[in-house]
Amino acid sequence: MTLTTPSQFDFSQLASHGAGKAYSEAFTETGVPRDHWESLLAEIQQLPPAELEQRVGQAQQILRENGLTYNVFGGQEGSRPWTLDLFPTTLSRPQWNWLQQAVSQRGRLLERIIQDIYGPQELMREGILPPQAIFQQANYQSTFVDLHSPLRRSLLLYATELARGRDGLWYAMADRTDAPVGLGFALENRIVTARLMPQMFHQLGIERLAPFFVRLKEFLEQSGETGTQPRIVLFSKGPYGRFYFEDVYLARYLGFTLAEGGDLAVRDDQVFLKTLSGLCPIDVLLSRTVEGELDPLEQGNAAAAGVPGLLHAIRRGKLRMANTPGCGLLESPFVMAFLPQMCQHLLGEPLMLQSIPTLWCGDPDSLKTVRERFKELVIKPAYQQSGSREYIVSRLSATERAALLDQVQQNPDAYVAQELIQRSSVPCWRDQQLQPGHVALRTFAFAKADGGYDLMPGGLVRIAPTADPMELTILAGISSKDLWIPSIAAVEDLSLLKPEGHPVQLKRSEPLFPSRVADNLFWLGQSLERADFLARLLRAICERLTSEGDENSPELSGLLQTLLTTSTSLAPDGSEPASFSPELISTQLVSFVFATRNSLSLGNAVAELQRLNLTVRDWISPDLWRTTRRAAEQFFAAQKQTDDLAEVLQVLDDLMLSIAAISGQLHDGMIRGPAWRFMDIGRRIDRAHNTAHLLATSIRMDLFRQRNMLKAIMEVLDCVMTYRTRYLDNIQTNGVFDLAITDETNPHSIGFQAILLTEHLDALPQDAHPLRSPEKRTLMSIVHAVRMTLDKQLEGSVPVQLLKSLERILIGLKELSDRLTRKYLVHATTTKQMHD
Amino acid sequence: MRYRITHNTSYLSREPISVGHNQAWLRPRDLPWQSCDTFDLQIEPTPSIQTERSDAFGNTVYNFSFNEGYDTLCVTAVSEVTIDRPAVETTRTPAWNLLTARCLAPGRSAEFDALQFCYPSPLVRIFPEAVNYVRTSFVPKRPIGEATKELMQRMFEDFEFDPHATTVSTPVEEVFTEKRGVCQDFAHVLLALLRALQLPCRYVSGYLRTDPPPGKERLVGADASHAWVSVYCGSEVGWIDFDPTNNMLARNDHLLVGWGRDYSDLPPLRGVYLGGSDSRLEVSVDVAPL
Repeated sequence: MTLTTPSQFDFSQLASHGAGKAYSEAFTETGVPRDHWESLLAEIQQLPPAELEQRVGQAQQILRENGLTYNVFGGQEGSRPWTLDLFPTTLSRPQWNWLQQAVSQRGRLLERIIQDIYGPQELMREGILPPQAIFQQANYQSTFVDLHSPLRRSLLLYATELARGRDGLWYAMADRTDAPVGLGFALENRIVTARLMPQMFHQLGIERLAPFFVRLKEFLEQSGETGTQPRIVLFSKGPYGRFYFEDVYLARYLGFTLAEGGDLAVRDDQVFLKTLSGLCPIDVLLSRTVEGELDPLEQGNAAAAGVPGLLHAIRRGKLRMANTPGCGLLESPFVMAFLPQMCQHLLGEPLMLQSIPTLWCGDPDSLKTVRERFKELVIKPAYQQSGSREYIVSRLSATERAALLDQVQQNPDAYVAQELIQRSSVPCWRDQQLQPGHVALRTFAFAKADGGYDLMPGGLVRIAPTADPMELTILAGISSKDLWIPSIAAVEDLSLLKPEGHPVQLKRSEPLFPSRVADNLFWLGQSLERADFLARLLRAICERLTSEGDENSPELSGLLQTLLTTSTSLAPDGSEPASFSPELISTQLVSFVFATRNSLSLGNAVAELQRLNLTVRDWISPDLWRTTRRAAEQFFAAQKQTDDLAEVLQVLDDLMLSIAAISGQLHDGMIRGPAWRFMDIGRRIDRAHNTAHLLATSIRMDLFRQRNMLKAIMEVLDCVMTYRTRYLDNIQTNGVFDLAITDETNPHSIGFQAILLTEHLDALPQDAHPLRSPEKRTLMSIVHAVRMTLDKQLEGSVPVQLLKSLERILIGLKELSDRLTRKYLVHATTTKQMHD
Repeated sequence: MRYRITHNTSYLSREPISVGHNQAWLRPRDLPWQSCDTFDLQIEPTPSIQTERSDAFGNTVYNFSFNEGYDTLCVTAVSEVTIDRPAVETTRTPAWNLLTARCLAPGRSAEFDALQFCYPSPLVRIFPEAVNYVRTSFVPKRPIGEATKELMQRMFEDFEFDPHATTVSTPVEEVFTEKRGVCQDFAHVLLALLRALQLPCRYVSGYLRTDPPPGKERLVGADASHAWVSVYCGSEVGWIDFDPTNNMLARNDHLLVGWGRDYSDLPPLRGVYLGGSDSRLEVSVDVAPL
């Protein structure tokens, strides 16, 4: 096919770009499209630029949504470092077949090398690999020595950073063997590109990625030691990890439970996931945590991210991990200098996929060459796993150059020198036109049962406007795009979901419900309730400040006192509230409402709600998640336009409506499983606490007989209507207190919360002890206090007794919260170290 | 000589410890000149699981952990050891400046095994002043044993034993600057000095005889586990043990448990646990001749 149709794009400029410089992926030297690009270029011709531009916009929208969805600790928009270029790149089938073979060979070689380094060390003994280069790098850890066995694959997931040079050959720029990043981004690129370019994708017959992931899953499932269906967990560094987005994205796509270090525990050398119903054994970890931070016991300084005892579990054969710790050593650039010799020695065949020419300066001959050709080279630390520095010598000043050479000569072992490569170019859609860009391709391969590696038919393509080195960090590059590999056979539609017509095994619960999630839901429920209570309280205060009545009305001081002492006494850290006088609050109410730092303020509760909402993203419905997110965003967005009390009232009303909507969804839409229970337990405890606190404050301030205070109490507890229908305008202490404490039909009463809590506690997993558990006893004391309330106490004739009873309830609630946290939820305690 | 070594470690906490994972390097190594005739490891409370294996350096390591809570952990190792160290002649050792090159030549097994001890390790970082300090004693062609002996002598004069000056986490460079510390620190300093010249030397964990033979002085570090340095002196001589704390070559009252690149490869006991508060560690060591 030739491009004879009237062209919307002028390819001639593209084709001539870099002639005689970079290799052009799409065009021959004479400017004619290469065969395997013809149909792709023809397809793009069919698309009007405006249409393409519109799809680019859609793509950005999807990526933003995904980013917001998965990047838990927002703020850093950097979850995805590059834009997505919808115009894919492609390779010819023969080229791809060659790459598949070459990467597989390189993977086999790396597997053999790591088995040797952490095994018999023959490569070093026989002088093929310089021993000093292994022993002097921190990546070599003696504790990894007995984790490897020739009977088990060590390197399961292997990524290669590729570039095509001017000679048209592919070079490996770096090997990634320690929890390689980018698989999730590549998958996301594919899903979005295929979705927005459906015609092109289907017409061209592109290899699907799903079969690769199916095989990956199968391999992992077969690698458990138990023989039965193994439990696989994706071991994440957690939301503070740089690539948490990918962790969540992959876990969900593969159907693996996502776990952080704190979710895992080792007992009797077996790794377990901490779930609500106890410890659940885990057979396989797909690790996304770098190997230097796995086990605080054996790696000493390892951060809290790790799991004590993890390495010994691997050593004892009770855990399979992808990859086996130790593989990270292979990322050191110096390894590349010795690959050809090692390939001959170990595999008896020449290395197919050459590395970028690499010289280890520790070798005297190499150092000599480096000195002679210094200006043309790139200097890198020899032992850095994922390098952070590199020097392109030609760009340095004469002084810098001399200093660098001096540094290298001082400690030659620690450096490698590499050739500069001129990366190939492809057409890219940028700034509403096709422009050339330079390619960095990261491929992903997974161990295959036959000993080789299965290359994912696609990859993460990063594009840079210049041909500079970009293998150091995956963040380099300005855009990324999908890689399309033409399929040989008809493309079968395979998805990770089970095909139709295969009934699932019916279930009523999610067995792997991590305790951490329950913990977050518990606090989410509390934050929701606290936000609601504070909004009501502030509205009551606000109304009194804006009404024409006496500013110093006694109930106002009662409400302010409630607000100031409401303390988040249930919050885990028990942070001390900042001191705020009633005067200050009255005058600075607006800023107080929105303050996020002050633990007493509404802004703090909403911010906490927002944060927790993100952490339980996986466990609540998308609608619920979105409603909550929107409520918080609207609340904080309103801050800018709010400067008087009338506007504050509006904001508070809006927030209360949003919270009502959230409550409705919780009540109506959530499965009555552990997620819902813990959320509701959090809410109920907090609500009971708020009611008791409001009443106790009114007694302490001796306001509980005042009609206005009683009215205010009913406003805050949202039972004005109920009271009026029962007693009309006859507002009496006992009527209000009955409604707030003992009336178990009122959703805001303490009694109501106690009854619901009793139901919840009965439904939680229990230990077998015949007597009632401590948390149940605590709850019973609260129920008891409510139900034993006497008429005369409600009437307020013995305020001391009623106050005591309320205080007992408050203490009981705190105790209940503590006991439940201790029993079911993750302990926030960090591990401690002991040394002799 | 035969000895009975009793090494008792108690870890006391005011609040219960909920889960604990531990490793212990307590069993004296079997060597051509030392044999561990009996070894008994008592752990109170009884661990949920306990395994024994050989680590990357050939030392015996015990892994044990607790699922149930405890507030006092008591680890007692009792071993009976026969020792008969060969006499060493530091003068008849090879020139230090030829040694590393010889180790790097392929195909020499003993030398190869020494290589991994030539380089910095987690607790033994090389610092710039190290080279200057060590050069004074290491002039070209000097036998490595002689040079190390003199280096040790100088250290002994310059450094002061002070059990309160350092903790396990004090960096070796700081010990070198402050010139104070305990036996582990001195071992680390000597390792850093030797490794600044890329000489193969290993950290040795062991014990000293508690009460000296009649008429002899009691050695420093006899009440606790001791540490010294072993230097590779070529295939004919092998490894020579230098005790920088006492400025002497190891004798028959230096009983060897194991070796590694530094303390972090074989602490007598280490652990990670949850819970506990105000915890403290009590160690007692008794080395009695039989």
